[in-house]
Amino acid sequence: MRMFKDFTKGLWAENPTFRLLIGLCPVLGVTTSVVNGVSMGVATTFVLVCSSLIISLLKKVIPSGVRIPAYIVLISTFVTIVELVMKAFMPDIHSVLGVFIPLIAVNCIVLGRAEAYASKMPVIWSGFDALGMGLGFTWALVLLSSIRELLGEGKLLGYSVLGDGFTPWKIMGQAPGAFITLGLLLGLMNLIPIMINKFKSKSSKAE
Amino acid sequence: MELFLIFLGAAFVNNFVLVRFLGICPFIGVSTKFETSIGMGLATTFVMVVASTVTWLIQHFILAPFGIEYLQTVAFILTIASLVQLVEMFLHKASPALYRALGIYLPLITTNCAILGMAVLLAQGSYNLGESIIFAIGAGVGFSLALIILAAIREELEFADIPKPLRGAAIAFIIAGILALAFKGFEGLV
Amino acid sequence: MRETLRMIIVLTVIGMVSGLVLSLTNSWTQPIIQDNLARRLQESVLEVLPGTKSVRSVELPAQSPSSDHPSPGADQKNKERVSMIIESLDESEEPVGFAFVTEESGYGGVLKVLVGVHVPEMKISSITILEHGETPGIGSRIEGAEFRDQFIGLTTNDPITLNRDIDNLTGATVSAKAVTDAVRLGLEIAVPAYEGGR
Repeated sequence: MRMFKDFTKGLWAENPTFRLLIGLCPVLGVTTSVVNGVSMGVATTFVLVCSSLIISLLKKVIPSGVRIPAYIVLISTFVTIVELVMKAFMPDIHSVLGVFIPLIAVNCIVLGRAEAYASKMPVIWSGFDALGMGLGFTWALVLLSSIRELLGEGKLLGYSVLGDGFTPWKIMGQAPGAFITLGLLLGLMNLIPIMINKFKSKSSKAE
Repeated sequence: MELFLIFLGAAFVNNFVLVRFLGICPFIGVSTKFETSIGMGLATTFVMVVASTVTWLIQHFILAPFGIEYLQTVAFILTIASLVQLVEMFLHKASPALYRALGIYLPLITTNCAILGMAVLLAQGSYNLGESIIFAIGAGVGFSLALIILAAIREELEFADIPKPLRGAAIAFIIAGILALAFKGFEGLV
Repeated sequence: MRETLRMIIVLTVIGMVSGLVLSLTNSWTQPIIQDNLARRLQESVLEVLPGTKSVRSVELPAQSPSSDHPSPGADQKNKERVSMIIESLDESEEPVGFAFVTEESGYGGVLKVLVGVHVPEMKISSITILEHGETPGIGSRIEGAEFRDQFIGLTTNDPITLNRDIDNLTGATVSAKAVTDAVRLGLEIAVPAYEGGR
């Protein structure tokens, strides 16, 4: 039960992108297409889970005075492994994601989870916490990149969806489109709980 | 002339925040007050200039000659973290006034991806040391400019009647989008 | 004191393990990464020099006078401008021409251009942009055929200068100038290097 809770809180209640507002650079930077968004999400989740597990495992060994440098070295090691493997087996995606791959190392989500959770909690819980956070980050990337690819190119996953009659909104593929779409999505995410509360209070009155 | 173009490119045409999406967290997080945004901008620019020099030296005298470029991320991030620490200690001793003004922003800068992003971009390019420093100044000025503009607008927004779900970060992103649109005007500059 | 010692030991061990793991990963992935690059380069060579059946790399002579005090960065631009020369051969192993990779700083970092040259007339057959970090939609117009095709047929005797024999791209002067400079300066190094290296 505890594990399930650790896992699901990252997906919604403490979603890093929509609720905690951390790690937003790649959310804006790589979401021009769904493929890029998914790749970035998976890469970040991998780093997050690996570093959380190992930091939780070593929490008794690492003295608190050198905690942060130790975490930074561990995290950036995993990031470099991801970078080298992507460069070898997915060179096209690697060149598109570019500078945002090494930047996973300074993604606030990774260091944040290490410091706030993995350094205090048992290994298994930390793993589920990291997995939930990673997947929460991934679905946010997928949602944003779907909207941007659909409106910016009329495509989804590279397949034409909206047909030839649709004039692509070029701006969605560029910086302003990214900022405005994320702003509106954040608004929408804030609106959902408000609507649910309204609905609940209405139905309770009706009773 | 070429140096000026590098500066212009880093500060305006390829603005770190509004075009390259680097340093978004402090851009949204520290932009609620005009005064703090100036402090954050200054501190970031300062660290950028120091970090660009040190990482350039590491790249060209240690990583590249020994063929260990794969250690780049680890080396750069450790350098930046210890650099921030050193700057903090140095400011504390040398200039207490400046420390009081900038000190609280320094710890936040370690995880500012604009710094590591700048170091990685510089390592990929072929700039010499002087050009790298100009690039860093441009990047810092561009970051500060975007941050200060957004903070000034958000201060005014406190009195505006914004729909409830859009309050806070949501409206800040929409404004950032409009700013990014304005910065697109710089694209044809040179 | 014991605490300090422990800090140092733990950090050192973590650093060493990390270095070891990364060097192992690097030695595993590096050959694959090199293969990828070689394959992509071969495809690009085929693009700039149609008729290529096989390729052979040509030894690069030192491009700048050797100095006693090599200072990285200062004259690095000239030293590393041409990073590779590849000879292309047809079915009968006769040279079709050669291609070289030339670099210049653009707006958003390094710009890498692959230039194909026909032999023996030493005329540019075609150029293609291998890598660039220019602004999408503006600087990236250097990738368009309209701009690139202007270089076809030029030799070292041509000025290859922006606004003389190469038309500028309005609003993307820096990117266009970077490509033009890369081609001109690269050609000046690559032609004698190819002739000397054969």
